[in-house]
Amino acid sequence: MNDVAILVHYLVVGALLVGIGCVGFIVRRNLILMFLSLEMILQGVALSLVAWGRLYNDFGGQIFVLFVIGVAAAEAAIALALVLVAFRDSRTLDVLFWTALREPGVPAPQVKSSAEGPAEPGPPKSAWPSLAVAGRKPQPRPEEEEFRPTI
Amino acid sequence: MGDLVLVAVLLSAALGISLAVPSTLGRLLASVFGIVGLGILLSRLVPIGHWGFSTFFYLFSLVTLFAAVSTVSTRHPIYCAVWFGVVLLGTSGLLLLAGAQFLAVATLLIYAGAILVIFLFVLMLAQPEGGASYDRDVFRPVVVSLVGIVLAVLAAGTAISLLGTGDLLEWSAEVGDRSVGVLQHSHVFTIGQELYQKYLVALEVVAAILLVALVGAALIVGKAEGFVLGPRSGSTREQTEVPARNGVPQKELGEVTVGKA
Repeated sequence: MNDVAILVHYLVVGALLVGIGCVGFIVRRNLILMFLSLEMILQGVALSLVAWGRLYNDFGGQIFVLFVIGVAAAEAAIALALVLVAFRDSRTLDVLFWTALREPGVPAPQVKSSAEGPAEPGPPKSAWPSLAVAGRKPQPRPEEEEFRPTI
Repeated sequence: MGDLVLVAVLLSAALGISLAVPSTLGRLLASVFGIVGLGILLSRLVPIGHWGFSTFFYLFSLVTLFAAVSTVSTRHPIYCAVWFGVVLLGTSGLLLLAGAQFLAVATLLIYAGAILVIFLFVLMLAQPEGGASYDRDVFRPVVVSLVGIVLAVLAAGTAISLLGTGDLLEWSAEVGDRSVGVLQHSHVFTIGQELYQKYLVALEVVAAILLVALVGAALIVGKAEGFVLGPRSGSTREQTEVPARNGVPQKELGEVTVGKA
């Protein structure tokens, strides 16, 4: 009975992680944060798989999770490449820039007008530490005018 | 059944408040609701016999869930990535408790060490200086968190109902002594044997998937000439200057129209 209790504990935590990941995917507007929520869903699934493997004393659960991690890495590479290409065209990570791709007949998502405003200013530039200029400029040597060795 | 509905309401209130009100006060209020909801959920579960296991399990799972809620609700994306790192730490601990020693370390190495770092690279490349307007609002937090938590509590309720039936117990009783199973010394050896004997074809297919993803990502991004590296300052409302390609200045991008059909 103890092993079944442990299994159910793991399944509950895994289910909550999947739920929170789904919520994060729908709610956020930043493309990369949407993808981060997807990765959280995969973590919840990994917990559930390992728990079932533990109950039946089968390594298949853990090996499935290894494959999930591998496929998640491949998916991260492709998804971030697509995000970079989208950023190159739109200069923004906002998913609302691409609302023209929605299905026909679906109304455009509404945004609270209070959110569209000037961005918060970053920290003032004087707050960044500055390094003193060090070293000296190399003096040009006459023998290098004919032949400069490659560095 | 009724207390699962109460759990769903409390947890969705917690998630909705933390999404809608991202300040410290909202986080505190959400924690109160969350702890009460999780406590009621815990009362439905059969307690684990071993006190050491259950202490570490509750510790890791509380850290994981708090970090998960913080990941989806923080308004600065870099902090969200850092909170996701904490989620990975908690998940790694939970995997270690379940006897998946190799997976715990693999999660930290691959997920936190490679995938999260890629996220941080792209965030730092593409994130504007200061807060962006698209990070500061969320789409319908209360409704979506209700839907998401109802989904999770349905799954959790199905799992809890497994405690009532005796099927699981009798299926798992056939397994025998579990202490010489996944929780054993020659863990990596046994994983290696299974991986390369039983799951060899799947392993080769995953390797091919990774190769295709590598080539595909390089092809999708293509040449780097269109990129101006470094963050743009200001919000998306500013007219940004598109760099000239081949010496011909491109016309500037139009403003983002939001909320109009």
